[in-house]
Amino acid sequence: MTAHPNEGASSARSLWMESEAAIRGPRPMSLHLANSLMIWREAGAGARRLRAGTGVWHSGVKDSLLMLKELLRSDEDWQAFYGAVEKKASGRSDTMLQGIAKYLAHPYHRPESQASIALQVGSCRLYDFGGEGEPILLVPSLINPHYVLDLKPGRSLAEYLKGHGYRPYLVHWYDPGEEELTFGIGDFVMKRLKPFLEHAAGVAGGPVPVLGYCMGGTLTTALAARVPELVSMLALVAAPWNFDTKKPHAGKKYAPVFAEALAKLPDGMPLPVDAVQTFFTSVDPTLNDRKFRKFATMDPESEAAEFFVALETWTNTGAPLPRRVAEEAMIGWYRDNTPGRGEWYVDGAPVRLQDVACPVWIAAPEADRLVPQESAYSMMAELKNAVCHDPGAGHVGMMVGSKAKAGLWEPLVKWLGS
Amino acid sequence: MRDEDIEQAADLFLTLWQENIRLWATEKDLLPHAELAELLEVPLGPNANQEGAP
Repeated sequence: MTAHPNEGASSARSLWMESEAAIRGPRPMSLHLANSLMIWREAGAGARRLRAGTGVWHSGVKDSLLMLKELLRSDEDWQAFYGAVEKKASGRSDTMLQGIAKYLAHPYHRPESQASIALQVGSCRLYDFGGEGEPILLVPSLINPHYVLDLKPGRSLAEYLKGHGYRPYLVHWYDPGEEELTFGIGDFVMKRLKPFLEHAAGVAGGPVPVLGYCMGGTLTTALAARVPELVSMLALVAAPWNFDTKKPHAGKKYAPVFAEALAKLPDGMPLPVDAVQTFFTSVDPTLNDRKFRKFATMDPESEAAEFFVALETWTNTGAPLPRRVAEEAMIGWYRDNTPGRGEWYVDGAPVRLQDVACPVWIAAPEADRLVPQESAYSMMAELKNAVCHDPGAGHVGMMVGSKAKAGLWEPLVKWLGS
Repeated sequence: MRDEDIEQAADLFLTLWQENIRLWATEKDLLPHAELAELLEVPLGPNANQEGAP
């Protein structure tokens, strides 16, 4: 393990910016193009199946389609309808392609965070946003980049916290190096998060608040259970815990398929970014089409368009997932629910919520399509001192969207100050 | 039907058509590789031909 404060900061940054700039989604591009183009190419045939009564319609749309069918009474109506469907479907394909082209050509690049590197351990870095405020450790998911917590000016939790009396320390997992490629999830907790927490606590001269977002929240729960003396408060934002919920986790049914795919990768090979993105596409294979058709109509110079580009680039950027981490998440968490059953091992022992000594704030929206609220709220039953909060937006929207300030940031600061 | 009604009907159909696919894709269970192979009664995978697959 190596630790060297502020070393190589500028070269590391430029390397990161280069690799970030090189990756622009939607990823995997071929999958998204195939999804959209096939849907619209098949629409004419779908219209004919509607008339013939041979379509296989989901109950969510069946009644509406049958009502539509009733409106088309003559053969002339149907012929005109087929023509309009095919013309408009082709138009939707074109608009989607224009949206992607417009996105790829958009000049926006995320400005660098106003933060220095306080500590580097292996390939992982701890960003220090500076100031005289109370240190707080911010931990993002291992999957997408750290900067969703500092997306752009005005859409940055880190910036907001700094403006409200805190000194954010943001974990940047970065691309896994030689050592991290051998890690399981627990190694990231004990060999990376723990030294980062010790650094922040050293600056504070005592225990500090910790915030974990998404999978980062699950990791910080383990961290708080292992080193409770260094965590003064724990804020968990959309942190999955119980994977055996009534409303399933997004992609849960794909976990066995991914487990099989993982077993076929060469020994030690990390899970490629495009495989991770394919997994997320399973949540809604039509989402990209709708997103990019909408983007095609936006004024490219508007803040909304900039925000779209910033968020879309974040969504499609990531690092390969170390093999053991992928296996532990797909098989241990998604399939076997090891955290929820008290059988998730970190540092040689199961993580027990009873070992988390500090107050805990569990923010989890009902509208989250990735992590069911029930999964995060399930922790309430076993934590000694926990409250819950619904931020009233989606999984990512609650962090950076138009409702983020009122729904998440302000209630968080209020709780931290309580 | 009037042309504008046909246009509206086509727009509505396309939205429902995509929604139909989204609902099936996100709700229908996906078969694991091994179960799919069993269902199809053919060996799948890189060594399939060596094992006598058609």
